[in-house]
Amino acid sequence: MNYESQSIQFDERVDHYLRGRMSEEEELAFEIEYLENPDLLAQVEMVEQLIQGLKLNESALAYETLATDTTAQIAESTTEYKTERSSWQQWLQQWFTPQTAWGAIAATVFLVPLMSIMNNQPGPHSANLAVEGTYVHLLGQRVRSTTRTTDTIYIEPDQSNVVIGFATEPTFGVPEPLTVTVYNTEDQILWQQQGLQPDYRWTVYLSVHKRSITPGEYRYELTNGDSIVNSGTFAMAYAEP
Amino acid sequence: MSEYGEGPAGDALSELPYEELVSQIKAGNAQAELSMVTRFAPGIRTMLGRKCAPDIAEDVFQETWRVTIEKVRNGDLRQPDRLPAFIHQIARNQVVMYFRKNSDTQESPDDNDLVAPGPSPDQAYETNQLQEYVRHLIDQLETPRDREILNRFYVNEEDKDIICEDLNLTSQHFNRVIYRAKMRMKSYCVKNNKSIVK
Repeated sequence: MNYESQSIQFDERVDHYLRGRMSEEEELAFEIEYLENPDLLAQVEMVEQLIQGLKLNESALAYETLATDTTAQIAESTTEYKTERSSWQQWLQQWFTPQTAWGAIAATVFLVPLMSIMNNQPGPHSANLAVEGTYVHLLGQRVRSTTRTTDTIYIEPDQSNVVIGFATEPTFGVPEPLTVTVYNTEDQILWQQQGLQPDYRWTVYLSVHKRSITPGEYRYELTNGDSIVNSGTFAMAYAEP
Repeated sequence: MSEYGEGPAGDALSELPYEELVSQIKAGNAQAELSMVTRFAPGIRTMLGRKCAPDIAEDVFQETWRVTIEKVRNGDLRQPDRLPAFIHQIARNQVVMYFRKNSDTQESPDDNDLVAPGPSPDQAYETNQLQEYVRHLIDQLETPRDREILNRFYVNEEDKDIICEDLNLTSQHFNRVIYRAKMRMKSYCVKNNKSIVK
């Protein structure tokens, strides 16, 4: 199809609007105009979709690149790990070991990215909780286990929230919504969210306020109705600035 | 007379000038209220979607229409020909009021604020479809540089002049890449019944 052969005109103000290049007055007038003009509104929605798609695509590409790099790093790390075992590594190892308890599939999640965040924003818990030797990975909002066989999940929180991804198993047909429940060591429910839909990588995401993330052990359950789909434990830690 | 009250109904309402639509609402024609909401809801949703998170936008959207209908019924709209601006102003006010009302809780969220709402199954499906399509769209671009143009312009929000200078592009080439991307996106939107750009 020769797109150039068509003489469709796109309003350049749409780009200005969606890229935040309008003054407040211009924005106000433009919004009132597209309220009355369905064609203009359709253009706004269309370019908005394009931008959203581009952002999603960039995130996915960043993730794929990172996952490849991280897998290589982990393989390299494993070799070193066998040759020089120090006390902190032995301590760390317990968190990297799956804590099988409730389901056939259990995993340990270890949050490390606050190492970089805390460099700029020291938090109340950071001083005594060094996590040495772990990798810091910047994943944006995407969170995922780096490989199918590694039970480590890397997270970069944004300014206010930490996003935790929980892997589920692929199923046929339309995925059913899941409930994620996170418990503390006293088995009290800390957070619960229902109706979570796995993304195309079969991962569901929980967004938790950063203030609520305190170092310690947690248990999680992914349930579908009364049946437990996945469960396990994970540890959270901050890095020293 | 319609089941909603006296006055015109259905398609006749959707064509009414603003002054007559407002008159119908003041006269108690519930279908005129519905027509007003139907006519302006998509634009209000888009506008709110740019100012608030989805869950907040939905709350503000509902409140906007509650207030709008109440004010129009009561005759608070002095210039009926400016109905869109009136609704727009109410929506903006509701956004401000929402954040003012909830500003005290931003610093210390309660348990309910700790968890963001997940996407609905429909939203998750649409998001995946959109991502797949845009990846396909990017794959169809002539050169990797064209992809860079789109990303720098729309994702990084860099200025056109800077991008053209960095990549040694003419303005025409830049415009052509943006135009093609929009054309392909338009066909996606039409195919998925998301919007119709005439």
